[in-house]
Amino acid sequence: MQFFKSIHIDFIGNRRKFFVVAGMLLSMTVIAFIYRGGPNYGIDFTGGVLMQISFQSNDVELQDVRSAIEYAGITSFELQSSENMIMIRAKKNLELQEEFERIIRDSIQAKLPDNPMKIEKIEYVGPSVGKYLSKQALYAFFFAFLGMIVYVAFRFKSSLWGVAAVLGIAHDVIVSFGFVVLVNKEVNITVIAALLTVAGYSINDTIVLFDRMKENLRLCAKEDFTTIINKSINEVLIRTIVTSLTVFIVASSLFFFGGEVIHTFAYIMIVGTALGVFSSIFICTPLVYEWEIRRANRLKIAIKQGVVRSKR
Amino acid sequence: MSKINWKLWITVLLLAFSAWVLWPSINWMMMSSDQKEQAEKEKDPILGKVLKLGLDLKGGTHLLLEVDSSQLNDNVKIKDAVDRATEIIRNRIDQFGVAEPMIAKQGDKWIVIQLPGIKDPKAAKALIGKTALLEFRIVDKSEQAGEALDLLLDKKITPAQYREDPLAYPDITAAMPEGASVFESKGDDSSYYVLSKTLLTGVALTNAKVEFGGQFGQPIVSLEFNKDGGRIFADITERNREKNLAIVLDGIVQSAPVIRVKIPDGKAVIEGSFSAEDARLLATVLRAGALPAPVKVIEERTVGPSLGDDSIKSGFMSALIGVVVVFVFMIVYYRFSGIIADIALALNLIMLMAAMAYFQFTLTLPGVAGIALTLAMAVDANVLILERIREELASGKTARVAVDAGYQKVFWTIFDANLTTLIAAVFLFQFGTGPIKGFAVTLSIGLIISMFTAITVTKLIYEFLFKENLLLGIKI
Repeated sequence: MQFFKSIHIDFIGNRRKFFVVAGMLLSMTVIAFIYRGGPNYGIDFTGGVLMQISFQSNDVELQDVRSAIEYAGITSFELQSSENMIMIRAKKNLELQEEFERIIRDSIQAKLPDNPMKIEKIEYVGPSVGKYLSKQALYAFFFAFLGMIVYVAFRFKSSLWGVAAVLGIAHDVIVSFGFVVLVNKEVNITVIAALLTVAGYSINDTIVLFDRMKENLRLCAKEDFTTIINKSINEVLIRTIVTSLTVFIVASSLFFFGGEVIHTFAYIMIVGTALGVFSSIFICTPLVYEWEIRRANRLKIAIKQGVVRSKR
Repeated sequence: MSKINWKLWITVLLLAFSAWVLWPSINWMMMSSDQKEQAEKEKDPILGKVLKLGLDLKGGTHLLLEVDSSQLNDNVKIKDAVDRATEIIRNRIDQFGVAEPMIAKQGDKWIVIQLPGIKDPKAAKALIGKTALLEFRIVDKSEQAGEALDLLLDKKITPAQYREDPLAYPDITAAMPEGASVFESKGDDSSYYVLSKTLLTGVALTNAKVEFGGQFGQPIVSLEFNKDGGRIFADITERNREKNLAIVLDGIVQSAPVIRVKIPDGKAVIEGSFSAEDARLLATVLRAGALPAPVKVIEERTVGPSLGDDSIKSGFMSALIGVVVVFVFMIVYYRFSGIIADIALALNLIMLMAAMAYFQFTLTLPGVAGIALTLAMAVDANVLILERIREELASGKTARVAVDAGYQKVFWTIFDANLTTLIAAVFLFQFGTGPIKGFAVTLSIGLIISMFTAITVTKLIYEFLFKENLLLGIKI
């Protein structure tokens, strides 16, 4: 089976249109940030308590739980219900976490005495740990990015290609993060892991394309630059579609059946896969094209002016 | 030809090794939950060989403790204090009877504790996190002490309230014998003791255990002090004969046996009408001793067993569905070559699991996601190869030449792509914490294995088929 026999799409000719799309995606991210008033950082980074509770009988009004907790004197918290669970998050004015657990349990049980509750999950992150986790996450990002830039620059013997590749990843990570902010999902350690996965997938895609460009530049030295790049993109296009389709299948499966814990991870993977394909074809490659053309033009002018002598 | 043989042997050997490593895990999965509990109780060696599941999958408690260095004596080094606290906590947890606990130092003054499958995290936390200061004091039954106690009772304040701020109750403090204070008794909130100043702390205790001695073979608790402690204890027992020695843990009197004789050698026994359970508890309290400095919980993540069960089910189910669909897709899209790619994927999965079990890495839910990504990248490798072979075939090459050329041309692409991701994964492992680490582990191992299975193993299959003339042409 084969999706297409052969493809000839003029990607380079249409590059400006796609730069506009990339610009739109980035503006969407900015708008999402403004609209949501910044990312909704989870307790991993802010410090705080998250409790997930369930009741024997599902027939519980969220309002009752809310007033029970308020009655206990806890003012700053969020409630969220999913399926048969209720999540309680508190980030500020924290009592000692043991106190918090006891207070909530007691006051809810006092309010709903006939419906025993069960604590399914407790997460408590102290402020010092929150800082530590943020710092580690930043380190992880920084060094992972640096490692990738260095490797790509080394493999393609051009820091220009390396920079283009990393700009693509940065675009994907930023826009993916924008999608997280857009739906107001909580930013926790899992989100960071997912964003790094997006970065990994995106660089993978870019490298496959760059490798083919490098090969074609060597093999078809006579053809002009635009043709070679267009040809390279078209040649790897089927592979890109097939691969992203399989990633899409896995990520969708995790998204729909994976349960609450990997839900956010899968959401970011789905967005990120699409972005990864988009950026390598429509951002990284055109950037390399623009830069190489400009360099070639400068070189031509220089040859005309006799500053540099042509090899031929 | 010999090259094929050589690679074939390695593959077969690795597969056999994987099967051997995974065997205990498969056995474990077949066991009933009763058998599992039994094995955990008996600390069956199989536990050290099965694939370890993270707390998010299994349920349990993760705690991060900080040793409060501001409350250390000047002569105690922080490193030493953390080391000792770690050991003491390890002791306490062992006594609590948790299967496969993990206790380790992290950084300068942090201690990580993981208690898988624990049913009552609160009790464990109480045992671990408490300051747990063990003191020996003498019960003061003098008239003066009685007066002070009466004043306290009149005012209806508790000993804890009084101890918090003795200066707030000047009349009681004035009545109190010097250095003395009031304490509650364990299990009986209304009976208070007036106790002398601390004469000895739990640091001096080297051991405490339950023995069945005494006149009627009833349980007794025997204590052993270190050299200095033994000397002080001899002194205490000599001067306070026939008085009660109160054993105070965290401001609560655990027991107050009468001192019958001077104990010169630092070896004492506590007799009384204990049940065996009471005696065991008292010994535990004594042995757990005192932490060199208080510890506090700065991070906790507890997942109830049912939630763990749910996430394990949904996590694995979703990954399985995804993988099966991808397998089917590969066969539909690439036909026979898709089957070869699927074999490589399956091998990748088996070897990845075996590596996890062999190195005793912990599989967490993000780890499952990491496996999913690994498989996606392994699929990508095969897609790259097969698309390339398709191109080579289209340019009129024979099957055999096309396969060779396909592999040769994409090798570096796959290598580059995997290595860049691997670089990212290694940094994630280095700097990541908890879930990120779990993800990075499966991803790194998976990528390394995938380079072998997706390239070497599939190529080997093609070479073998060509050699035996089983494969004459390829249709992709």
